[in-house]
Amino acid sequence: MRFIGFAIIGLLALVLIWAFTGINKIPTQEEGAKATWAQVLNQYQRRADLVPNLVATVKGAADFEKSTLEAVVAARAKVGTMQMPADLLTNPDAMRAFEANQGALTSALSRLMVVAEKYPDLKATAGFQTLQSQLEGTENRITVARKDYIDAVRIYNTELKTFPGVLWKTFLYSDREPMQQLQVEPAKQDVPTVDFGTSGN
Amino acid sequence: MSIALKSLRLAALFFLLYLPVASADPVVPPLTGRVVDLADVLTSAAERDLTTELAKVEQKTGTQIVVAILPDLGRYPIEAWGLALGRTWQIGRAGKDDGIVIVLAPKDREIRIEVGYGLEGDIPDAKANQIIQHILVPAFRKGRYATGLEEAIGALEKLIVNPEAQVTEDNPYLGVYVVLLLCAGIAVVLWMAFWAYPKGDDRSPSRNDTNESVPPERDVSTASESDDGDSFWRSSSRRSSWSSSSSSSSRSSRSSFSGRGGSFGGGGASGKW
Repeated sequence: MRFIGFAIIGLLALVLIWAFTGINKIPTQEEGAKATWAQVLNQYQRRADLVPNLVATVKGAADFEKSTLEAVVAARAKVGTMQMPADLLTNPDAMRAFEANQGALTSALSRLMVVAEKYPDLKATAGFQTLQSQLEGTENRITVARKDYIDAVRIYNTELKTFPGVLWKTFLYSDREPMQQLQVEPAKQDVPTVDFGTSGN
Repeated sequence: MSIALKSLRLAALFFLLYLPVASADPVVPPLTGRVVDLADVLTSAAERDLTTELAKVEQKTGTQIVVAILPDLGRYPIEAWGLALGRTWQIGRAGKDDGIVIVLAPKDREIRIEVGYGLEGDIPDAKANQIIQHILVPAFRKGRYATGLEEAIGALEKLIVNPEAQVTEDNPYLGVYVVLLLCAGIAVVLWMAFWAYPKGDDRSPSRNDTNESVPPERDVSTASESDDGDSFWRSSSRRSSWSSSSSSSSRSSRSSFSGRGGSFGGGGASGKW
């Protein structure tokens, strides 16, 4: 009987020690998630900085479709003047507005690039090609930064809701709220399976 | 006894259930050498030559460049492949993040140069795009994979050594000449200002990166021949453990090449031919 008592006490001690090692997890993961968010903002800014150049270059092309260009300028202006509250990451409404504005610029820009296909003279200029590759690169970096943020937030939110993180949240970090998750665009949502080697030869 | 067996089976079942959920990213093949040719488009001689050249580049500049030739993109965008390969293999040095992964999918006719964080300044997207459009695409159209890759690696090396270098000599665009002329003017002014400063050319090994511990484990002579290296790893473990251990196959353990902890953020350019 004594042995069982010791075993229970030992087990409890082990669980406590294990839980205690996680005391810093919530703030650490919060900072990690915030850092990935900073990278998301950074890449969006980089894209916004490209737009004036792109517009200027495209404007130079004879009779370029006006409405397309105006849509880009308007979307860029909206992104530039957008309010970013301090609690953006935990405020669903603010996050939705942010996503809507950035998404509008994304679609306006991709429309611009599609329309540009119809102007071979424009497409042949080195300036346009440079801008095009910069824009593609930036969109790709945005995708990567968003993916990293999504991963970091998933880990952080899980920590807030599972044991032992939920204990630490109750006792020490009760002001921490789960961060807003980003939506993956529908087109990228289906996860295909890969089959290596069988079809390559 | 039977309980242990049952729980083992249960654990295995959980493991199987868990796998498909975890693979939102492409499943990365093991890093068998500097050139991973899973589509078998390179002769073993060409592969050896490329490996030697890539080893030389690393020795000279510290930058790890890896060529990955995939049999199939499997409906993932090539950008996802570049990122997954670069991050999983950890190409480039930790802290410097100066790795490059050249991803090639001959069947899909797509190419990507994935540039690590630390090289995004030296090889901006526009330059990577130029390498693809002016060097790789023309060569690949003629089916000359080895020549194209060799020239591209040469161009990348030139940019790493001297970021101001031009990718192509004969540029058909007038705008470039204007920019060049302007650059020349600035260069002359700069030259007059800092004429005493020695300008590094392609041969000079004294880029300040290089005095930072060149990898001791480099082993050029035993270039891996990945003739059929695409089937064995499918059954083995799926993630992350490849680059660190060479236990799963005796074939890959012959080549001692491995990534050095670099990371990637989506820099680079893609193209089709």
